Amino acid sequence: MNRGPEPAEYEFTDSSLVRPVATRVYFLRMFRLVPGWLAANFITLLGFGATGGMFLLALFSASVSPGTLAAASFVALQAYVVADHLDGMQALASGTASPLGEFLDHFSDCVSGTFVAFVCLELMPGLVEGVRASLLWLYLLAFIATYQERAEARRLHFARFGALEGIVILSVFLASSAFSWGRAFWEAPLPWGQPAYWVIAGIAYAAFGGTVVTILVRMRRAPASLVIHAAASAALAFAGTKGVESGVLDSWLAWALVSAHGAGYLATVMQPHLFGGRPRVDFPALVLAAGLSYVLVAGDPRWTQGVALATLAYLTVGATRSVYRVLHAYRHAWVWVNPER
Amino acid sequence: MRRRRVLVTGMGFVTPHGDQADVMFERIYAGESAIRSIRSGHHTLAADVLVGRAEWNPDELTAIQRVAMDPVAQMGFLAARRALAQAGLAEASDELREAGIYMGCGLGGAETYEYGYEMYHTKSVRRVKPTVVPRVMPNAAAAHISMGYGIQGPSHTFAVACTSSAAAIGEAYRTVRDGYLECVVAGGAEAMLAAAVLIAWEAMGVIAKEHPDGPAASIRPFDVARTGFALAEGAGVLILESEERARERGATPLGEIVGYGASSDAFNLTQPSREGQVRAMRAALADAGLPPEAVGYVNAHATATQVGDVVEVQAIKEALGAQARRIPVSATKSMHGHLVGAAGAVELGITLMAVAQGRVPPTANLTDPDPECDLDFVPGRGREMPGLEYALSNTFGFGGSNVSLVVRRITD
Repeated sequence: MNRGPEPAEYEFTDSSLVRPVATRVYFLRMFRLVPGWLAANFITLLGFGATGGMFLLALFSASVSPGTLAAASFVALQAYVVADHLDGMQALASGTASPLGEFLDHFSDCVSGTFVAFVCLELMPGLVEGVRASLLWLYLLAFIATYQERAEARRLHFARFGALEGIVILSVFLASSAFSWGRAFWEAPLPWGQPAYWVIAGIAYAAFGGTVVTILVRMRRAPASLVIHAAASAALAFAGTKGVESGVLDSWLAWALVSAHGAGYLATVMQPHLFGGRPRVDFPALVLAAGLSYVLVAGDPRWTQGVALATLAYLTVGATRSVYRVLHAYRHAWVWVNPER
Repeated sequence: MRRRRVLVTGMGFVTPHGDQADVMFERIYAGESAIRSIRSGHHTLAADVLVGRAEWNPDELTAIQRVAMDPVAQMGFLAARRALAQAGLAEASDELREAGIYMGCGLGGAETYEYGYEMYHTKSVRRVKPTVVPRVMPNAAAAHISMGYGIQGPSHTFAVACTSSAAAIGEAYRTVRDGYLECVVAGGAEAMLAAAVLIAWEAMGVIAKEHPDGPAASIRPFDVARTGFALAEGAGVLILESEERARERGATPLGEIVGYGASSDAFNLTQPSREGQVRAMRAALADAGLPPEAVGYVNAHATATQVGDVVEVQAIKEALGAQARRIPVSATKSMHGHLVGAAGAVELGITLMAVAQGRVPPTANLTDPDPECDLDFVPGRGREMPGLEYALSNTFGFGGSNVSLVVRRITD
């Protein structure tokens, strides 16, 4: 049976501060509750569905109170983080681990992160649009740089302060925001006048920015495809900010442009590990991003929504094609039900 | 097919650290090396060789047994006696009649081989003792255990070099787990400290050179100054029973075997393969239905060869993932030497005791770790690990055979 290309070997290190303790005292106990027949790829999808659900709730339920949104998002985030850890455990414990599972796991982590970021930023109404857009941009860049390093240097490194540590902070934020006293706490002004949740934004800036800088220092160069992606993505974030601030773009569309662009490039940058080659430079995306920025700054506002939707369509099709390539190549690795032990 | 739990209800050993399980474990936990230098060979060919000579008393056997058995079978038989006694099955009984015997042995009666060849080739004696063939056959230990205890089920001997006894235990585990037998006497024995065998191993360049601090300091797994292993002799036997049978008898379980993985390198007779070792470890974990995160301790194969230790470290890292650096890994061969066909059984026994007592044994003589060997090797002395539940025991052999076994502490 054709099992798809053999993935390239790479060095993997995880220096997470929280993960060892969390694994021992929490995830392993949760793992015992997972039925043996449940395939790991479905656990991944369940986690993805949880964050997708919290995103849709934030997007379409204008009548939902911030407390309810925070509470529901807290539950969804816990479901996601458990699923994210248990899918790999289940794959290895059932002997069904595959490059497809690894790809789905890491890719859905990235997209789920954008959902979580969207919801958390919704609960921080005092953040200016530029901060929201730049945080999303930097988050995706950190994720992408991590996998760019694997593509270029055959090394995948998760830092001491990584996704799990971030989730712990966001869990505290969401759980406390479910209560009015919690929201009051986070909205209370800091000595310099900004709401307290600016601290979380500051930590996120430091963590994401630090990740990108550390990776570039380790790689001793900035790959051209990464630089061009970062530039195009920055242009999209800028365009989104301008568009939302001037009222010609919906906030979800601004978010979706940056997310789809990041997801598409991430899917591309995860593929040299599987199929060889190097990450491609996506010049059309750069041109579209620059064009959208131009339209917003100097063009006719009536064109904005249309150009934005066309750009989103291009980016979504590109991301879907990239993901499909992996799904197709490793389609035999998809597991419906785990083999009986 | 319903999988049954497989409990270990008895363990018996004959090792360089003695033939009492508890004493053996305490000496190993304290980091005591049993490696000695002996004068091996005849006349002008004699040379000092590092070995792990078993501490035991052959007089526990009858005179007839000593004549009928090579030391390899004697040690295997005595280890089985200890294990059966601990399991409460010391007498031939109905319970034992339908049991099986799965033993491992790499070579067979080496001393008897040497006696036969010496008689024929150097002393020109054409007639040797009629006991030579029954003494040299690798399945002699299994045969004597069968006869001694009236065990009439299948009696198999696995000859898979260093993985012999680990494979025997793994296959025995599967046999009990899948309901073919209720009880199996499983383990292995090896006694190849004969002069001609020792020089054959020396010729491969895998036998350790004596360290300036003495023989006890010579076996140094994962250390930059490692030069190889010391051949050792001994036996290890476990009594494997289905949970139903063990509970019904009121036996006290000492531990549980929960996973077995075996693989072949298909690569090289003597060079180890990371991929093959990874496959064995992953298969064992998958068989146990466990994620790598559940493993709390690894008893490494670790023969202290330049290539072997690095390859195993790489394999552990790949199989156990990023958390591998946080898992204690010890190489007890640094203290008892390499028991070849009995290595898997003895080291699995040590692993079972480590899990049962929450105390993991150390890696002796590790003073200057090889930068390429960057795991937590528990150097010097053992370590308390009260919460330890699952452990992995690795055994890899010439010919590219790899076996990993997963054991669990009894908690219910």
